[in-house]
Amino acid sequence: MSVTRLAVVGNGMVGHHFLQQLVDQGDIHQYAITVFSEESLLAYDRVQLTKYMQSGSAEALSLASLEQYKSWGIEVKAGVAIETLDTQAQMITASDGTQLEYDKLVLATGSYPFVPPVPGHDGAACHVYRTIPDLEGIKVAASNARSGVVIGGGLLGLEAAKALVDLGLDTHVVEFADRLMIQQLDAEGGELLGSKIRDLGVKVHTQKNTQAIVPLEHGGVQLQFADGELLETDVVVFSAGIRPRDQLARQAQLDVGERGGIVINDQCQTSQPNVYAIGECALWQQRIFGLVAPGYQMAKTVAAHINGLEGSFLGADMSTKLKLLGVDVASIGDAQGNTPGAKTYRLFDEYHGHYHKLVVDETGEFLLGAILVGDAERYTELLQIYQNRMSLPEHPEMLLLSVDDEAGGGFAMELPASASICSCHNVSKGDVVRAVQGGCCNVAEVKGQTCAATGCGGCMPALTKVVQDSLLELGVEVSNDLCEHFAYTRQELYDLVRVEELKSYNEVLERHGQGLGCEICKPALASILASCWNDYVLANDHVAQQDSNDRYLANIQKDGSYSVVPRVPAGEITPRQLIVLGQVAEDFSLYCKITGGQRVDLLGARQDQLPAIWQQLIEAGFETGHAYGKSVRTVKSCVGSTWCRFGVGDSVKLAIDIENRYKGVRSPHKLKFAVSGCTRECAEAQSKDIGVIATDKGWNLYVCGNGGMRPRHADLLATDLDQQTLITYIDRLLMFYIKTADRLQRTSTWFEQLDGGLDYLRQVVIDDKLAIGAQLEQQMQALVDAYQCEWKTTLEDPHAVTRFQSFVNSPATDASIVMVNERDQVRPATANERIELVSASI
Amino acid sequence: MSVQQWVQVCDQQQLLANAGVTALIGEQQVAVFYVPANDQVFAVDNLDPVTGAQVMARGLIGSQGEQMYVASPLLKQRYCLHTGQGLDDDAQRLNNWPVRLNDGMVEVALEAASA
Repeated sequence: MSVTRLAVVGNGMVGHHFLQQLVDQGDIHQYAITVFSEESLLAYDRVQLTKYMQSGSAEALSLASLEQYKSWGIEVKAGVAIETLDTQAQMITASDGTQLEYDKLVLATGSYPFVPPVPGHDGAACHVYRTIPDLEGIKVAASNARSGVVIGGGLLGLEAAKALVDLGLDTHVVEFADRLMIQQLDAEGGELLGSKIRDLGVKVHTQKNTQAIVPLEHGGVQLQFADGELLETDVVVFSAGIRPRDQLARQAQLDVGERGGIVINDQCQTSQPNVYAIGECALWQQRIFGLVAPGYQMAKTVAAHINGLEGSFLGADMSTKLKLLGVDVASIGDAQGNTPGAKTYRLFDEYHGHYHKLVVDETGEFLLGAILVGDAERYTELLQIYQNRMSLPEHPEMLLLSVDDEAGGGFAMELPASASICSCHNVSKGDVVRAVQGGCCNVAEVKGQTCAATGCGGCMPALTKVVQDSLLELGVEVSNDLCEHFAYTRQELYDLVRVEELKSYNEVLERHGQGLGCEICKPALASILASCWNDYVLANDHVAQQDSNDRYLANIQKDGSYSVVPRVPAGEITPRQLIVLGQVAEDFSLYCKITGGQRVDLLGARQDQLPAIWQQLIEAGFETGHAYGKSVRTVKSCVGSTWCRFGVGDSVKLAIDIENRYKGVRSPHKLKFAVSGCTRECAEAQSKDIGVIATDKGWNLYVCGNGGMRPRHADLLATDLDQQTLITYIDRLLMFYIKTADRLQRTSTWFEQLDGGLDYLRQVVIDDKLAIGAQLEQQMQALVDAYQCEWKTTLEDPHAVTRFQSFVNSPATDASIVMVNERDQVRPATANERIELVSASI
Repeated sequence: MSVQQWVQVCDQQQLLANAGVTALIGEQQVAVFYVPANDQVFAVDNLDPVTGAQVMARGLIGSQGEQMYVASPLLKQRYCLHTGQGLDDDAQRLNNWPVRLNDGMVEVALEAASA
């Protein structure tokens, strides 16, 4: 049998997926495959195109590589277009002159952006938004532009608007219709989306018919609308829909639709049975599918057909969920309610900015479609009900309400095995359950095996839920053990240490653990012990378990040197103290930097210099700042009512009181506080673990916020508190966190995983529902009473000081720490500089 | 078998139980770890091969099954205390040297490193 010659024209997402399907379904090596890609880049993720503006990395979006194709035995011609197709001779001719005979041909030529033929549409300021080179063009144009206009307020237009916003342009969206996303949303939904996007600073102009784009003398262009209005801008991006790229099919006289698109049957065959068309160039039952999931299904169908397997493309669901400019938008099925007899349930929550609509059939039993704007948490659940034609609950209106449930609802197990979990890759619940039964032990493994959640990722919550439920059903225990040395969770260990009054790591290991311990359990237990008893962390029983920073009471840097951060409560510092910090930095040649927590960081100290540095600092009245500990760091404050003309509370005084109360308290992770003297919030308290804001009646308490890697806005726990109540609530909340959080879990993630959320936290902290309030307060008071400045204790203990020497057998200092000068201060020498310096000194 | 040149480094009392200290032998920084449970000592290079910093003695030691290891205090890569072999990255390893407790003293045989 001769080898089948297979030619694939187009290497977009769908063209690539077709090849992937051939690999997945059988033996790709039985075909001699040639792939033509008109773009010089191989397939990349166009759905995530806006990410390119942020990362600038084409690689991050890449789906295919030459090496991968080579390993599949595929010949790749990149940057080569096909110019003619002769279906009689079964031959294609490429732009580089190549002529190739085929047995089977797959057209995956995609689509192109439609540009309305208004005068000036082809000017230098005008762009489209489709490929990475398009984005490069927009980026260059934006570099000396102030404003940009997107023509087209559909899904892609709003994506393009996001890109312009990211480029820092004053962004406008111009839409012909009376609302945004007319394909997916109804009047109310489109109106709400528009107002939300306006709130973000994007100007939305609806019912605007662009009639001309006129270049201006001083640069830029003027958009002239049919209603006589004008809009000047520097950059124009057209996003007025897509058109199938069917020129090659037309030239070859394949059947095409009246308004374009290569006509295909249920096997995705064109009017020539050995020529297939897939993706956005294909027309199935008079429809073009402009989403990736239907294209993937077509790709799968063709791969099956070529392999002699069964399979048909029978249309696809166009439901979609997106985050557009930060606004959640979802549309399911017949969102407009066009089905005869359809009825709707609607909830328009102007207060929270949510619009939810369900479209149900005449009988009210089945869901026909839905629209979600502002909050799309219910999307997965509604989509499952829709796709699986599940009966609606007795009160469908309950589905209009928002959910807090992250896991995507408790419905997953009731789904039939045929229920689709991932529509991008057409993975059913049955596929997921089988993968778990076949040995996959977690979501990552199931993803690897089934490809679920590797497309748009929208099904991740549903997938996670099904995987977890399947594991539980199999009786697989999901281990929460701290590590191989302790078969307990952190909370269990905390309780054991408290109840049995265990005072050292070795005691806990002997009674409840095994082995030598490790870098997980040692610091975790050192932290628990400190949170319970607040002993000196470098005591003989504790020193060997402290992580790098706690072990030397300083922050280790990349070259092995340390940084020193003395405590400056609330950021209030005297001129004399500032002079001392400067003097110490000069004496020891330390690099100085102001921290985000209103303190001074002194960097570049050798381990052996730390005791001498602290000797000077302590003599001047400084205390350790615990910048090295998983413990209370700083309480940031504004100057408050003492100085500020807007201030309503003495934020500095309160911040000092709070910092002095909680300093030295060790916890599962670091803790940052702030106090603002008025609602202007200059101390940024709402991004802190504990944030306090003055009101004219007292203090508002915000909790469990975070900045950094995963920002989280803090939640308002209680309002208008007096200082004593405030302290009581903070005491209880912190001890409850210390008791129940996982190791290295910040308050923000702890809060998000807390069953019952904010209401529950209020019940525990304010209402004392668990009746542990007094105990928590007393435990916190014990920690406060046991406070010591660890550096002061260290300097009083000659044995502890000895441990800071560079070498156990020599008074020499560590010559590997080498500094050079930069901007009038020191910094660590690079590897090359160090070699030069060492060789110069020889 | 070649004769090893044992160098006296320090008193056993100067070691830190279940942790490391740094010794300077000539110009070589050596990390010496002591595990009292089975009275074992280990001597490996103080140089962290990933960052190029002289810090390994400040790392936490631990066990994985029977294997004992040290984790870099900077980026936490782990190395077998017996062989110096990287456990997270096969391509990385620490130099290591014979070390013993002899009459209350810690001795390291530095010359045998290349053996």
